[in-house]
Amino acid sequence: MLPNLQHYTVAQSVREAVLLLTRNEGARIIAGGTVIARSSSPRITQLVDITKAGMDYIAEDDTGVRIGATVTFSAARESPILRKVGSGIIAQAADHFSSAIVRNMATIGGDMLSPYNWADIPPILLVLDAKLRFMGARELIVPVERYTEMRKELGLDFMLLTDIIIEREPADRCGVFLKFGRTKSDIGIVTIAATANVEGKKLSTVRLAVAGVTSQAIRLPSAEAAAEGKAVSDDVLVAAATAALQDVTPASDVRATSEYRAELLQVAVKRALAQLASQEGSS
Amino acid sequence: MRMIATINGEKIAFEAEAHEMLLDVLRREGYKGVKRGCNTGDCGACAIIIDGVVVNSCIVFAASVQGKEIITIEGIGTPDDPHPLQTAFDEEGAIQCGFCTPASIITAYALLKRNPNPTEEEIRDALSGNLCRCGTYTKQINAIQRVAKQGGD
Repeated sequence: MLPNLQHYTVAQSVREAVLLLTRNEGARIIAGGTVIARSSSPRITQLVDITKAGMDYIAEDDTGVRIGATVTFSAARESPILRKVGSGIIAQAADHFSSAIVRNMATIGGDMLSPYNWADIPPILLVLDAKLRFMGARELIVPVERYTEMRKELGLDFMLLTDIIIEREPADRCGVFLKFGRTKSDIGIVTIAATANVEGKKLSTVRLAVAGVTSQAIRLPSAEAAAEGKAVSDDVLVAAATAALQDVTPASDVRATSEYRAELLQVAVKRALAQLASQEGSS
Repeated sequence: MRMIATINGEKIAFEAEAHEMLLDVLRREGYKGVKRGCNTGDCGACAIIIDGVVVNSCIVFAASVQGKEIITIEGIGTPDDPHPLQTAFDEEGAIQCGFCTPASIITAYALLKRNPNPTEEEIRDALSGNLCRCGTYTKQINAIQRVAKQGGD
């Protein structure tokens, strides 16, 4: 329960939400509510509900795809547009996300900004070279890759995430999403997303990102370099898997030890690249 | 805060504080078929339908439902005039302790509205957010399939 919550306001537009957010330093955004409803933060005095503020669209044009921040996992799962982006990795993640009821509530934008290191959407948006549009006193467009580093500096926690922007080229790449958890809908012990352009078995513009391995979702640049421009073979898979351990030191937690995650990470990298290589022409 | 929402087809006015959850307010207003299980949005015992979508009412703020349409188990059927799903759950033995039943029926009701002929896999997926500690899942699936076959939602 939020002990000091005094106001719950349903914003009817982005403008109104931004205004409410900037007027009160105790104001926080609520969309699906699956995270914030469990919070007991005494600092929160107002919730600004953005589910009626007109951000539940998935739009496509020649330049790419835009996903409104309040699109639910259920809507993402059923979207014909998202079934095509990166071979459908966002829709696949939605398929494996929590339970049917939680999918009706949780939003893509909320998962992107989730405090949890195992969130599925951040690694996917990393490999789609996505950008986040924030509104506050001014509009800011931040590449997902730089979100963590710029979050404090730009005060993004006090701005409103409105859209996720995926440009045409990354949207058209082949993609793979794999979540290694105890059950289909459980959170991942290791979660990996990958995209690449595939020609024959040759991969280019390779992107690999993982979640659940360390404190936040992270790209694997050494593993990407080991596969870049190569025809996928057993040697390439082993080289990329080994390189992944130079990019990240897996953490231990209640779900798995560091050693177990290190093994699983290598399996994830190999499997993701092998599945990409088998996708030629499918994107 | 004074709220007005349509609950089971009836316009209802009620008071809710900003911090209150819909689950608590519904139970206070007499909709006791909405059960408190985990209170963290995981178990599904408090599931209801808001504007056609199944949600966990324990993590919905009461203040968010102004003007919305809510369906609880009380709006599905009564002991004298049960819904075909309620009859089928009973006859198939899908009700053991009964605590999860109202919400499981809510989920099944929403599923059949959206998809009158679900496959077993679709039923399992729809029920993925309704935990049953008695383990009646198979019997629930039988009950839902039976109602789907009868064409009665």
